[in-house]
Amino acid sequence: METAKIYLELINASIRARMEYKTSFLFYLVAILSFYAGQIGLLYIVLSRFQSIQGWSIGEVAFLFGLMTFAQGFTTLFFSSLVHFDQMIIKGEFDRYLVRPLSPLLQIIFSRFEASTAAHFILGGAALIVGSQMSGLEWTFKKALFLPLVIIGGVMISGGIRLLVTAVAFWTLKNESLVHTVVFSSREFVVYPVTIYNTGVQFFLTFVFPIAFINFYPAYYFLDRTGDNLFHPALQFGTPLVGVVVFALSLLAWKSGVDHYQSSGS
Amino acid sequence: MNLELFIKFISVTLQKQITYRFDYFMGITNGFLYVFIFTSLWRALYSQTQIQSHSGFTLTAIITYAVMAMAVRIAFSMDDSAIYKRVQDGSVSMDLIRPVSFFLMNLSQSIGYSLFHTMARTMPIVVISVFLFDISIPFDPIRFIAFLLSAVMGYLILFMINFSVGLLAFWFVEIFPFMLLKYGFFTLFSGAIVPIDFFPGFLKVMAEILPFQYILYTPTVILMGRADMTAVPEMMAGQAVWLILMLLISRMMWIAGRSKLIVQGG
Repeated sequence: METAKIYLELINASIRARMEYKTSFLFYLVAILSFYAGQIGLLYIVLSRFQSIQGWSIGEVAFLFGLMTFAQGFTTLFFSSLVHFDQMIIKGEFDRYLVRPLSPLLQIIFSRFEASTAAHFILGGAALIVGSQMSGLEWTFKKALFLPLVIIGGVMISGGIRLLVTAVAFWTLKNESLVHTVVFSSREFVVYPVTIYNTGVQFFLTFVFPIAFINFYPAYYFLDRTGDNLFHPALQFGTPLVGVVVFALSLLAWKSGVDHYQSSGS
Repeated sequence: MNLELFIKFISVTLQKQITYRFDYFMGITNGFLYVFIFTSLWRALYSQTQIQSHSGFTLTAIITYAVMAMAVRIAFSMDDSAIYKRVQDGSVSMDLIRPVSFFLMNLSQSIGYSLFHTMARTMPIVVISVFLFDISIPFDPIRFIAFLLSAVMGYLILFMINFSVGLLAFWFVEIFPFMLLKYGFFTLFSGAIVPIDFFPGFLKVMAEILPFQYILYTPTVILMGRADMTAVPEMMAGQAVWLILMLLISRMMWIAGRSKLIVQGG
């Protein structure tokens, strides 16, 4: 109980620190939205020219984008402080977290809240609504129940991947470019339906680096799609399970990283 | 600033880059990942209609464009936070007392950085792509010289945009939002992913007003033979106009920023 109170205090402090610069916060929001506007603009150009991508209409692609971006909102909310973790290791700041009687991981998570979170929720939410309207998605009770599970599963997948890559810093110290490639660039893969890639890459995105579960497979279910070649129809419902597995694995990697950790001494 | 010093700056930055081997490997992976995603996307889009050519691009032409635009983009890699860091931590005041021009010093460092990325990342990606994808570039020495000239102008335009955005740090505490904005505009309007020819009405007008198309689109279409040789002088004239404009803007901003620094007692 006492511990929970401390965590709440940490969250409170980091939000207050953020709100210290209110105009900067708003400006950030606008800038991030315009950053994504570039990407949406490109999708719009391509789709207004070709009508669909592998049979996925503009509304369906918007739904894909919405699922991914909304899940990313939660991911940045909880895991954005991990991006610069290698700096914490190099500068020896991580030692501070270790001497306190709280979980080091939770301390890092609650130490900073990213303003971009709000932008992701706004954008992802809008894309989900517009996408389901345009594609004529029929919401059923079952789908409405499944949606939060998919979001949570998606957050566990992308958050788990972040944690896994972060843990690498315990061994390599510097891992900025790895984080950049795995966390940010790989996102580009699932902006489009994964059926545009060859089978090998689809396999990779499903079973090795399972980001297709963040949006592609669940979207397949929500949109009542048929006809695309899935490896197995059951994959449509796989997101929550895959999320749990990925996150459990990454926690293991993190734990063994903490055990392995020796201060850089600086 | 004498030429010898200029070249010395270039070579020091180049050597700095080479020391990070792991970053280098990830850099290639990252670049190739994008090439793969976009060629897959174009192939999927072209396979779904009977029409062979869209906006004057055949499948071979658009794949060539995707690879070459990415190659040029990677060759143009710059450390766009270099200038604002110097302003923010105050080391710019040390630069002021050096007997070299701040602009030229940064330009030479930027060239060193980019030369490394050209040799180490662009070259391998182009070589791999030539074997993997159906790419066609006309063999024409005059065209190649025109490309080099146009690429140099595009590079300088991009450098000066980065330089000017970096100098905003004289007036704003946080300039990351500006960089996001710039990045959003760049992604869409430079033609990095979708050539300007595909843009619908109003977006095309915007692309033509803004300087970004001159950075990647112009050199790329000259290289791949998409631009008619008779149209090349006009395209380069457009580049030259923006080159001069950006030179004026960055010069004025530097003078204004420097005097602000002196007023503050720098």
